[in-house]
Amino acid sequence: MKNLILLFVLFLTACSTTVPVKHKFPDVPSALTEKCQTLKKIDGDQVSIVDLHKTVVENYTSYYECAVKVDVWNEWYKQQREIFESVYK
Amino acid sequence: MWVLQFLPDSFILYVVYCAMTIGAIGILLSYVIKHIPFINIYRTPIQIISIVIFCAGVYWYGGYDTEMAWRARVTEMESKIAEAEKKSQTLNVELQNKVVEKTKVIREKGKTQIEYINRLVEGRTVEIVKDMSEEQKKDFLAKQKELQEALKNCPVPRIIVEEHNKAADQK
Repeated sequence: MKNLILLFVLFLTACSTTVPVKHKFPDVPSALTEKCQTLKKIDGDQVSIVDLHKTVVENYTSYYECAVKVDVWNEWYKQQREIFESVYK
Repeated sequence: MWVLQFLPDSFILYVVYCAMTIGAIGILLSYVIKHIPFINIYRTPIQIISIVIFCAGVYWYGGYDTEMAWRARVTEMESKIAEAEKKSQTLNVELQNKVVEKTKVIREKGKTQIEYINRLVEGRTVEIVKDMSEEQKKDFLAKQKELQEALKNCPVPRIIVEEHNKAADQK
């Protein structure tokens, strides 16, 4: 009987409880989910250099707006990843 | 063991200690009643039941300890996650503002440039030249004249427009 008690005590192990801890994936700022504008074309047969200039400037503006979004997307990913990984260090 | 999550810590510990105490008392009692006549016939069942209860108590104590360790880890993780989510939200607000502000500056710059050329074409240059030196003004007026002449005499060739439009086309 004494040996049986000893055996019981030796093999006693506790069960672990797994509790799911949810880590929500961060949302993306709404400004980054907007699509980039398509480039503008020049309309009409008689096109002046002013019209050409206007269209080119508008297209450059569209490009820079889109470039800002791409740059901020990269920044968002890099920093969110650092924040995410800091939880599991 | 998942049921333990829903029970308060103090209740679990109370049950565990009760089981261990009852088991220990039962084991001791089983040795004492060995010498008492009539009752000693129950010695073996009392001993077996007491050992089982005691072992269950020890097992539960181990389970309680593990449960507490897990709960501590869960609390730690939850606080870390809450802090990370807060940081994420703050970062999102910062980046949203950054995009909005930069976009605003870029649009303003584009508008200003288009407006500048329009003023030159229409001759509304009083505001532009008011702070210029005589030399700068002379240079500026020459550029304005060059632009106005080009507007009159040099329409953009159609091939340039077509090629520009092709370049702007996504396909």
